[in-house]
Amino acid sequence: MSRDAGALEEIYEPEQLVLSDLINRVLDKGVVISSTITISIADVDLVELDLRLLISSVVALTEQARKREAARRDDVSVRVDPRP
Amino acid sequence: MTTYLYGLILARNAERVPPAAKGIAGAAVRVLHCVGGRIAGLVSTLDEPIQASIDAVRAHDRALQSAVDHDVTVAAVRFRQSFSTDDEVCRHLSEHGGRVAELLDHLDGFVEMRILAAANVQAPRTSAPSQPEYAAAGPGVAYLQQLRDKSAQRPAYSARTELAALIRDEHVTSIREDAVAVAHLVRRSDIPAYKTAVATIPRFSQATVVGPFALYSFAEPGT
Repeated sequence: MSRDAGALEEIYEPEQLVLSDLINRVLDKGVVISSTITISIADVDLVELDLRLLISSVVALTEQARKREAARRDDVSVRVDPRP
Repeated sequence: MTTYLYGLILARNAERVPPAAKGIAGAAVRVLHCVGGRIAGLVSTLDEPIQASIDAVRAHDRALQSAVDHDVTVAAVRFRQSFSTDDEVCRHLSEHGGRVAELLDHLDGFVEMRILAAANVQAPRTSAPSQPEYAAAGPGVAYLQQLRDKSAQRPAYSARTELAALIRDEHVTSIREDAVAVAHLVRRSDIPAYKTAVATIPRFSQATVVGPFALYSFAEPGT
């Protein structure tokens, strides 16, 4: 898969996709055994609260990753030797 | 204390599950055998009810992955299913686990592979319930149901034709407004050939292939 190293969105897209996929798999797929599943479609309040927590976490993780990359770029630019 | 259930395996494969696997809150993952059962549960004993968090979701997935990485086919159980005791788990499995036992018997040796791709292919229009109908049920339900509706509208992402010789089944899911996951049921021994074949499909040239996983999309009818 090709990437443009100068585009932050492309750098983080695979990580974001993998995280979104993880959430989708674990939350919305799989066998339902218990009749009192705490995150069932019928349990409206818990689904609302839980998804807000998860979505907030995804946003926070993405922002942290961007800041780390920005800090890394700043560090690299300082260390580049300008001499020919 | 509760017994938290991560997934289900054939009882005859239990010896392959690693003994040191960790799950939610660092709790040990163990195999729960039920008397006379064809299937066994991957469980942890938890001191407190779990909270929905990214860490818990990751831990649930890791617990399953530890078994998958040791060549065990696992039917993933949906997140956050807890029971009061081990005996309660066994009771539920005896009542509801028959179909899973049949599934695992039939799919022993298979894994789930997934292609994660940007949703930029124009899909044919299909009818779907309007948003106000879901909004009345609450934002969480609305979110999940909207993703499910979008899944039904995306046959353009199917790779059944190109991968016919390597997949047993396919399931396309929206994982975000702008991304889909194309899940495939693949024999473990065919994973290298599967990855090679996906790389030759032009519309997936920018996609990410992930797996092998436990059976998430193929473990429960209708998901």
